[in-house]
Amino acid sequence: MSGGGVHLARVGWGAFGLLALALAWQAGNWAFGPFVLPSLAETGAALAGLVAGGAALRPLTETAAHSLGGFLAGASAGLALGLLGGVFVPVGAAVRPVLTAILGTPPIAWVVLALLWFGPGGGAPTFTVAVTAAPIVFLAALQGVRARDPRLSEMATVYRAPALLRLTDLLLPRLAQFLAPAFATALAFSFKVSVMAEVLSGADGVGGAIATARAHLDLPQTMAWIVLVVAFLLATDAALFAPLRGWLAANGTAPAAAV
Amino acid sequence: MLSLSGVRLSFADGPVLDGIDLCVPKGRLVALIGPSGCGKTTLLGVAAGAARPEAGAVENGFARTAMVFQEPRLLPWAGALDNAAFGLKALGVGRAARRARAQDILLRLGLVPRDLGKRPAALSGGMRQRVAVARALAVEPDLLLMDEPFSALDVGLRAELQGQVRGEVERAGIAVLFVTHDITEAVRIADRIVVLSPRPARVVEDLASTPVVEPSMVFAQAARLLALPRVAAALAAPARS
Repeated sequence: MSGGGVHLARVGWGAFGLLALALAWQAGNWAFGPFVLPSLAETGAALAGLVAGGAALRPLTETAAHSLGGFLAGASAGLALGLLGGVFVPVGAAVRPVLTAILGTPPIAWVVLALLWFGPGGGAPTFTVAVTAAPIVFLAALQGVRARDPRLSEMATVYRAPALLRLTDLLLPRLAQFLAPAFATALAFSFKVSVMAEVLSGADGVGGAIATARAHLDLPQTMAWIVLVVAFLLATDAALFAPLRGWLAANGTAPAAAV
Repeated sequence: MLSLSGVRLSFADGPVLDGIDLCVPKGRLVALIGPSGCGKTTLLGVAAGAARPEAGAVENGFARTAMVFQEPRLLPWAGALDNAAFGLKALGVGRAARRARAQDILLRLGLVPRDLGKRPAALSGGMRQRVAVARALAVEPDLLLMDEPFSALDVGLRAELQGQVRGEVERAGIAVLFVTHDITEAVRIADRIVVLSPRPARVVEDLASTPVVEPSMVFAQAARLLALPRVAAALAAPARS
């Protein structure tokens, strides 16, 4: 099958999966009624109302600020510590258990602590997102640096490659293989955690809107907010990381070590 | 000239190089032979500056040194052309100039234009090794260090690449230090053959030679060398991995 054919088939199967999910949703509505799961039509109407009326814009912007701000801070810190830890073994050995412990701490615990530290508002969701994203990116960066091929490093030494060239041509391509899935995972967690923290902290954003819809027992609008935030996450992921994934797909046959 | 005198080096499990004296002059190909595991690759690493000897001196009077490893050591995510241009990039040569020079050499070494963009995984073993040789030649070295570069290739391809390396010595007057464990390979291409003892390596013979092309002559010359007691003793020693 040609490259274009493979791409079309992939899109087709993706559409089939989404259709199956929609059918299951609708079947759930038929089986359990609108008070458990609203119909696709009701949710679609609520969604259209939120978008057309402009009510979606502000909560989405606020959630995006919490999610992306926290992601950026956490991923930057995780990346820096992971690179340092990969290069300097004592740093990696010292930081790894700390960040593994942070990774294992339930986000809800961070939300509670963040509420006490920062009070209600945007600080708690942003902080919780940052501490969730940092260990994910740290561990990936650490593994990526440690997966360097010493034979390639020796080759670069013999050819007197400067540090910048080693970074761009040897280290970053290897790191990308580890960081691409870590970034995608951390970003997805960022949105989940952000919305959860907003719900619990009574902050604004999509979480606040969901809390309000829940208080009004407005299930179609609750589902509409969920659909909206998931769609926003997918669009953000595609905008930020699709080029990196495209590069990795083009190099997908590259083995782990030099040949 | 590359000159090593009294070079000693040990690893945790004991001495590897035991007072090596070696000289590689301009325009000459010196073959270094010895049993497997005797320290040939370590010696080449010392010559390349990748390893530092405990004692002795290494003087490299050549302006530019390049190396071809036993495995091609290509960047898996880069195409043949960019791999061949890596050494030039390290020297700060601009993109267009380095790609043009790398392309010339790759084509001279037998790759065809449609191979230039292929990544190493899509190239055959022989092509990968040609790219590694091209990477070394692209920097226009005056000293080329080669560590059993063709040992994994079939006989025909090996002979072709040996001829190309010999051609570079004749054409550009570069010096080559060529590690091999195959005495017939040394006979085919070398101006000097240096025989190392089993580990810890010492120079047991340093013989002038003339490159031999005719196959029957190659084997006759190899047989003459193997008849020398110290060469026979060194090369017949059990391999150490």
